[in-house]
Amino acid sequence: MNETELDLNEDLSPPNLPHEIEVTNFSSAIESLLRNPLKLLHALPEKRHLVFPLALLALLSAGILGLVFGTYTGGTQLWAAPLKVGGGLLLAALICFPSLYIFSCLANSPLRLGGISAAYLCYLSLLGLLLIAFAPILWIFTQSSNSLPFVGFLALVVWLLSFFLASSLLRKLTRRAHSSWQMHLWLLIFLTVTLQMSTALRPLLGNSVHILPQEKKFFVTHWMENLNPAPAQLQTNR
Amino acid sequence: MTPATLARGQSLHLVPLFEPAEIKPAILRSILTILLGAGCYGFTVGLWRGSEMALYVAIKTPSLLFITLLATGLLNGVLGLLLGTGIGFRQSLLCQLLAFSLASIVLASLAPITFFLALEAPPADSAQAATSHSFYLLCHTALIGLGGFLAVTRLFGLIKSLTPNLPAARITLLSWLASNALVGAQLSYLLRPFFGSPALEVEFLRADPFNGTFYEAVWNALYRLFKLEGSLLILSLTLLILILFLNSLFKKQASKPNEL
Repeated sequence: MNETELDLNEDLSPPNLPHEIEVTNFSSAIESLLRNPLKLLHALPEKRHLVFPLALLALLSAGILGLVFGTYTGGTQLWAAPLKVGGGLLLAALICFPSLYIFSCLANSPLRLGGISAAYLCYLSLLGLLLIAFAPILWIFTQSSNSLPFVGFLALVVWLLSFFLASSLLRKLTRRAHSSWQMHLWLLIFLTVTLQMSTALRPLLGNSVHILPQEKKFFVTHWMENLNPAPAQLQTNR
Repeated sequence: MTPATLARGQSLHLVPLFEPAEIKPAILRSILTILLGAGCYGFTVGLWRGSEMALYVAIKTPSLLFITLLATGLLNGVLGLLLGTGIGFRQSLLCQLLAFSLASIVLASLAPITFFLALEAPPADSAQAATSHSFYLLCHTALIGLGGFLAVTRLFGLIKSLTPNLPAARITLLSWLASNALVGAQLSYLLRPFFGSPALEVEFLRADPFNGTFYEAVWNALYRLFKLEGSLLILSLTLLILILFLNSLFKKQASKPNEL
């Protein structure tokens, strides 16, 4: 047999990787979330003690991303930004849950209310894990750059990448036979809410006299203004 | 009949509602769902202009759905019989009530988000009030349109179960969509204010209800935000998406056997 040819009957899986992940504790739940999220989804109704740690993981991960944002400016932002990012994600998740349930029913998802809640928790936990994974990279840039639009753009890219990577999990968990446009639509709504939330709780990056904004704005308007800042605004940033 | 049953739209669970003994309770439940669901959503729509307006719109939104049903019910009932669907007046009424209930459920599920939107939109006394009002109007028009469209198309399987004639079921669905969208939109303009123009006072109904149309108001809002080319592009894309979606829905349903 030619050396380059492979024996198709040979088991090519690495010998040290377990084929079946038994979800028993938090670390196995994390492993299952990354390798086989369906397994975790099925295990959650029985392993209810994992619900709180997973929810905490999602919140703390968002808080860690907030801390990275806070290190860009320092001072009060070191505690304000983690609180805002964590709290903002929690609030966005809560207000979007009723529509997730209805849209998943419209998509003919086989999951009931408990199943949808479990799938949502898995989704938010994975989103949190991804945010933690990207946080060190973002931190390097927050320490290296003085440009608020550039760091803001990077933060947005990190958020979008995490969102899209985690979204595939939610679509996989809630669908019946094929991907449905109702779930894509809900994901778009959730993304828009989180982006507006970041504007409602600004500044997440940069500095301001007030911890919360005094003026209400749509997120696109806020972004445009930051891309073309007024001279007075330039002085208050960082 | 739970919100989830309605949202799943499975004929197996919905067709029994059309039995003579079940039809009356089903109509009452649908009315209650519309009152609660559309009322909640309406509250968040009016909230941008304050709690008084929120209360007005909470009352007017379910009323708008009922008036639309009254205005289109007769036409849709006649069309149903004329097209040979075999769907009678009471069945047609229940079908449309179910569609409006589902739209109300979809809108109610979005109400926490629109509540947040109302709190975060630049207020009516700010410098960006005109732009904010245009965006607010378009956003809610899109959401209400989406809710209505999702609801009517979701119940296509039910219409198909009630009639053996597939082409007639398609035309029935199209006529329901068109009549409810056209009439409902203009009725919403007659019952304005829902969003409340920043330059005008908060009131239950305007003194000049027949001054203008809903479509002109939407066009003006689009034009203010996106200018001529952008507005035309958005309208064309919306129309294209609707046509493609309906086309795929009809193809998919034609290939499926009746669920009964």
